[in-house]
Amino acid sequence: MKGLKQIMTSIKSQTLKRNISDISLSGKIIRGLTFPIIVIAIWEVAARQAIIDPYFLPSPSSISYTYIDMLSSGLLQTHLLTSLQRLIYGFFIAATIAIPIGILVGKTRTFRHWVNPTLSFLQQIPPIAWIPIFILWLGIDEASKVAVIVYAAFFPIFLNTVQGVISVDPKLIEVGRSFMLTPGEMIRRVYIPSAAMTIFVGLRLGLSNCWRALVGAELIAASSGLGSLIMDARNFSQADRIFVGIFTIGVAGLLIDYLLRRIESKLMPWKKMYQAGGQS
Amino acid sequence: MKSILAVKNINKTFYSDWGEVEALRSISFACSKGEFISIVGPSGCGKTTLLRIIAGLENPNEGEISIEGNHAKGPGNDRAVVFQDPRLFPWLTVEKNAAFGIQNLSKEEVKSKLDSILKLVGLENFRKAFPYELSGGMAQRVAIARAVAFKPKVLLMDEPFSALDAQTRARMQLELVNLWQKTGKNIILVTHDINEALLLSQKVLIMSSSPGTIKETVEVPFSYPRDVDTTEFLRLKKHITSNVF
Repeated sequence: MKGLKQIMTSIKSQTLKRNISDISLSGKIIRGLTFPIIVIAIWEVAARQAIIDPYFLPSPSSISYTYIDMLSSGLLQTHLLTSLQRLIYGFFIAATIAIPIGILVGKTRTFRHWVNPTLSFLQQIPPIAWIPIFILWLGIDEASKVAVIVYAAFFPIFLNTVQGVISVDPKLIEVGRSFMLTPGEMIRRVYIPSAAMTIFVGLRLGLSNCWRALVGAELIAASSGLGSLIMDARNFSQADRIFVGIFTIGVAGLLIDYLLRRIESKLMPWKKMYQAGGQS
Repeated sequence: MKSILAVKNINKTFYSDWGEVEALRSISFACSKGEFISIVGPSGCGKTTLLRIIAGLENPNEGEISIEGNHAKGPGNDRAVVFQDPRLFPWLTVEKNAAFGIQNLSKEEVKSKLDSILKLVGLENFRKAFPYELSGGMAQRVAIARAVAFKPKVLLMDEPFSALDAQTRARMQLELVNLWQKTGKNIILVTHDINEALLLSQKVLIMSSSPGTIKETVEVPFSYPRDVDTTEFLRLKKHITSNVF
């Protein structure tokens, strides 16, 4: 109860804080954009004054012309869609494997002792390092790329699920016991919702991890996707196309993360309580 | 009167790295139908442990709990607990928290049950609120509603009002008497507040500490609503106070 009071007061202070941050929201956006705009402006001027060689660094305006060209021909969309498709496959496979195993490992301490060292070892290996062997095993086609993504997403999702399950409030578990929940109900009604927020953090980290791993995989071996677009451009020394690829990767990554955050706050309206720093 | 709950010769010792602590020794008492019993005692006397054993959340080393003559091992749907802190599920709304323990009922039945219970605890206008939006008193009311909705024979309460401010506590105490009279449930209330015990219950068990034993059982003969200023009330309070400390 004392905890609840603290939460209430911290929520009050939080709403105050939120008001302040609301006021500066547009200010924040402006501040956030200032730096890139300055850089682009300097870059453009430098390119026009022929200070830099467009062969190595094309001007922002010529990059944007290329960008429009690639958009109107549909080339960019095709590559982007291919990449996104791989991302979605891999991500969903990873989540379906990592969440259940994470719950199991989080709930059973002995299991944790058995698998922890192995997982800590695997965690150290960057996904890219697996690409050659995945290609050897699964061929050069989609499967090897999806496998890399699964690998990249697995650990953040898995580790956060375990963490979320371990840190379920034992008091709530006791409430579940006193209401005679079966083990299955306990997982569904107490563990999963309790851990949901931490699991979501894992999903977000996993997704951004996969995005990076995917581009890496496509750079090494692919005939389509944003990574291969960049590699093709490099082979033809088209720096402007390389930049279009790079910017698309960054922007798409940002949008994916934003989308996931929106889903998160839709799914978990009670999240505010935790963000207020309250611990019940 | 027939006894609903019987506590028979409970012993409990905790073992830990630094030794063992005898928490409860040969605790026995019975609770007849509809009775409201309080357990008071100094902090650390094992009253919460006793309540947890009755709830089935902890096992005694010896002795047994029986409900209507049946041996009760572990938690059961004949008992429900209201803890010291509300322990609501932060991801559920008030009504879903209150309905947490309800099983095997159709949607309409759950709804009508919730309607009456939320009304009973005065939360009918907060059905869709989340726990973080509630005050301490409101949250504790949801916890009480959740326990009552479980339809237990015995309601076990572990210092449910101790974290509330004085006014809220006084109001909740009145509401609890009201709820008890309306539902006719058995209530066992653990409290360190002697005034609360005398104000609410028909019988007060006084515990002494290390090890926890029942030192005395005091019948409270006053009718409800009770007046805390009568000489009889004050005399009884004095008697219990001198026995507790």
